[in-house]
This record gives sequence, structure tokens and C-alpha cells, in this order.
Amino acid sequence: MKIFKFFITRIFFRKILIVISVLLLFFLSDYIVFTTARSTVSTFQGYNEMKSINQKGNYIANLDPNNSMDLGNIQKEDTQYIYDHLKAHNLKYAIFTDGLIIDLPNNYDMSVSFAYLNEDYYKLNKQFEISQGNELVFDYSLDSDDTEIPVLIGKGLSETYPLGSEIIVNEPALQKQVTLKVRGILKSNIYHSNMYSLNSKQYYNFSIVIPVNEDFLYSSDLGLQLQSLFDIILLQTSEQEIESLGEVLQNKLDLKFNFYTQEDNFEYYKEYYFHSLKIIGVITAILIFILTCLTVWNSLAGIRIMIKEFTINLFVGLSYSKLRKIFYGYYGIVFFINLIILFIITAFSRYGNWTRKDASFSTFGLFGIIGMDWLSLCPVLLFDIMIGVIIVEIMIWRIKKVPISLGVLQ
Amino acid sequence: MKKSLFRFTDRFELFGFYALCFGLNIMFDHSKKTEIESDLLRSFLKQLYDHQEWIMLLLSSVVAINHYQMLKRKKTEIYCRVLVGDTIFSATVRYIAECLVILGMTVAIAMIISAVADICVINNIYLSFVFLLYILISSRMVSKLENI
Repeated sequence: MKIFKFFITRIFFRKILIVISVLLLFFLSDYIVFTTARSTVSTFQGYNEMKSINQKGNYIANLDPNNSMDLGNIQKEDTQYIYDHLKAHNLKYAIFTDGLIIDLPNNYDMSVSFAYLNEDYYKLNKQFEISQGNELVFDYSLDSDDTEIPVLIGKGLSETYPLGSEIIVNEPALQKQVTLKVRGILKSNIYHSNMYSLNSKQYYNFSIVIPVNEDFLYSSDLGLQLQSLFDIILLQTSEQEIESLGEVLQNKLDLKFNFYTQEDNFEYYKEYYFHSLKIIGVITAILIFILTCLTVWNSLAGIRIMIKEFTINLFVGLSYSKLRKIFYGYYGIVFFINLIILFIITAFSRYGNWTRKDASFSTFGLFGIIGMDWLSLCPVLLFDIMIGVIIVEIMIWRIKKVPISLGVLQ
Repeated sequence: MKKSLFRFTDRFELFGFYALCFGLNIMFDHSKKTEIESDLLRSFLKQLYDHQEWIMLLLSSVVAINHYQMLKRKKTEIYCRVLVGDTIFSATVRYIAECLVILGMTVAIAMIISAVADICVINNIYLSFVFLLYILISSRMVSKLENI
């Protein structure tokens, strides 16, 4: 320990420029590895979520990108006609839509968003797991004046609205006052990935999940009905039914929809995402290779400058194995500092969502750091260990090449 | 040239580091301009070029180390030159001039590439100033090496 302290304070820290440069280069490598790992983890999380939706026999709707959108001409009767068509043809469908924001008092002073889903979507996508209370039920009625809708709420709202409490709100989709009864509380950091951008997701810590049944859908305004159609998932149906629905959508709404099968979607994900991940992998590999070469060069430059100190110590009895241990200890400290800096930067960016009151991205955890971040720090740690071993062995090899007598004379 | 502190490998190393920094800077600027269809790739690259200035600054530290370690190695040579009649002032001027020539060459190449690829040169100019600062700071080291 004494000799280690001596090396750190009297040799390495005397060449502070070299120490800082090695630290910065390692930090840059760690940041790139962390960014790549987090993008990959986030994409795979989104991919796993989509896998539950993208089952055989399901068709996922997507508005044709070349479609000239003129939503101003669409009336509620038109969208209602579509839902009537779905009912008449016994077509089962899953809908999920979110984004409607309301002002609801809560302990964190966040704006609250509403997420709407129907029973088929709830069964299909098991993303909305609860930590307290009961699962959603969809058999409520909107007929009576004192309508009570059972809802799930995000963890951030659970302190203000505990299980069983009632929230009276002016429901934006129904455009009337309703009572929401808290039936369950979502687990913390429940997310939903964007179907067309798997790595981007939003969190439901400050959301209210509203079960949509037929009554609700038919009573809701044009906005919810139309938005639900944009990403509608047709379940266990045939090509003919889809073609006929496509024609109805085209005639009634003047919107061209594409319906993608399981094979189409998997092919898209394979071509689009795995190809992108491959490019990201190549970019990361090139940058890491360059940075590693620079770090090795930097460390060897440090050896060149400090060779006298090393050889004098070897001359007076320090063994190469002890020197190797000192180097490992030194790089261990460097990696530890880097991981702490990386942790602080990640925490700062996560915590920024809380200070900006960005409800969709505010997450619970140590300073807002979530599982995905911890998981991405693991490859960084592995990378550091691997690079540390390479650099230390190269440094020892370089020192061994210099005869002790020559080194002392320098 | 005869009295230069630089050997061929020193010049080559310094040129290589400048070229690497400018090369990466140009690549960042080029990728910003390129239309990338993939959201995933775009968001990944955004995380990098949102911090481009910091990344380049961190990377440029290798140039600072290059100056530092070269001058550390040359301290005996500088001392000997002063012993045989050279002045520390002229050694410093020669050092600055030679660094500026190498930097100037790299900047010229970087500017030509940027112009051909129609890339904004402002980041290259910033980077040149950073390197200029390193040269001026390291030149102070030359005078300090007079007494060993």
C-alpha cells in the first residue's frame, strides 16, 4: 500500500497532464460504449414489446407516408362508420393511443397524460404491469350520470391518489365530467416504445391508463376515434377482410392505410433495425479502436517520460509483478473515476427531466437512473477491464525492454 | 531546418494527430449534414454530435500530450544547443514556426476537404485556435528547459 501510494503521489501525479489526458481519453471511450449499449438495450426492449403485438394473423395499420393528409374534412360519422364496419364484420381490434394532457394536482406538480387502450390491446401487450391493486376491467357503463371509470395510474400519482380514490376530471376525449376510480397502480417506470422507432419510449409514471370499451369509443370525440385508427391492430383476421377494410378507409376518410403482417414487420425490423445496429456497431468499433490506440500511445508516452522513476525503483528491488499490480491499481482508480463521472452525467440528464417537469420522461430510481442505464454501465465496466489489461501488459512489456542500467542513467 | 528540434517521426506524429482530430471533426460535420433515414442511427449520432465540441476538446488533449512529451525528451538537446551558442529565444521561435507550418498544412488540407464536401468550416477554425493555444503554451516549456 505504501509503495502504491508513493507511485501515485510521487510519480503519476507529478505528470498530471499525462494522467488527465489518459483519464479524458478513457472517459471518451466509456461514453461511446455507454451510448451504444444504451441504444442497443433500448432497441431490444422496444423489439420485445413489439414481439408481443406482432403475432401471426395480426395486421398492424400504418398510414401511407405518401398519403396527402387532409384531416379537416373528416367527420365523426366517418370514423364511426369505420368502427361500425369493424363490428359488422366481427373484426377484433386492439387500439392504444396517448398524449392527451390535463392539469391534475399532484405532489410532483407534473402535467398528467391520458393513455387509452381497449381490452384486446391490454391482453395483447402485457406492458402495463401493476404493483398494487387489481387488473383493469372494461365492463363499466357510461349510461348513468355518475359514471365511474376504473383506471390504472402511474407511480408518481399514487401518493396523491392512492388505491381506491376517486378523481373527478373533465375527460378530454368524452368532453364531459367523469369520475375515475383508481383500481391499480402501475409499477414504476412502465414504458411504451414507439412502434416505428423502437429505441424511443415514453414513461407512464404520471399517466392515467383509461380502459376503452365500445361505449367509451362510440361516445368519444373525433380526435380519439381517428387517432386510434392510425395504429389500429387487427387481430386474427384474413387478407380479404383487411383489403375490404382498406377500401372502406380509403372511401370514407380518403386515407390510404397499409396493413403489415407479422412477416412484413419482422422483415422491416430485420432490415431496418438490425442494419442500423450493425452500422452503429461498426462506427463504435472504429471510434473505440482509434481511442484505444491513442490511449496506448498516451500511456507509452507516459512511460517514456517516467522511465527513470520506474527503473530506479526496479533497481532498488521493486519486482515487475509488483509494478504490474501498481499499474492495475492505478488504472482501477482511473476507471472508477470515469464510471463515477459517467454516472453523474447520466443522473444529471435523467434528473433534468424532473426539473423540466417533463412527465413523459421522468423516471424513478437513484437520481432517476433506471435499469436500462445500469445495464448499459456493465459493458462499460467490461470494456474498461479489457482495455486496462491490454494497456498494463503493453506498459510492462515496454518497461522490460529498457535495460535497468540505461533507464537509471536517463 | 538544420537546427530544428523535430525529427521526421516527431513531425509525422504531430501531423498525424492534427489530421486525426480534423478528420473526425469533418466526419462529425458531414454526418450532421447527411440525410439519415434510420431513427435509431440518427438518435445515436445525435448523442455524439450534441457533444461534438467536448468530444473534440477531449480528443485534442493528445496533441497537448504530444507537445509535452516531445519537449520533455528534448530537454537535454535544448540545453546542449544553448551551451554551443544557440539562444533560447531562437529555439522557441523555430519551435513555434515549425509547429505552425505543420498545423497550417493540416488546416489547409482540412479546409480543402470541407470546401469540396460543402461542409461548414467553423468547427475547423475553432479547432485550429485550440491547437494554436497548445503551441503557444508548449513554447513556454522550451524556455523553461534552459536550465536542467
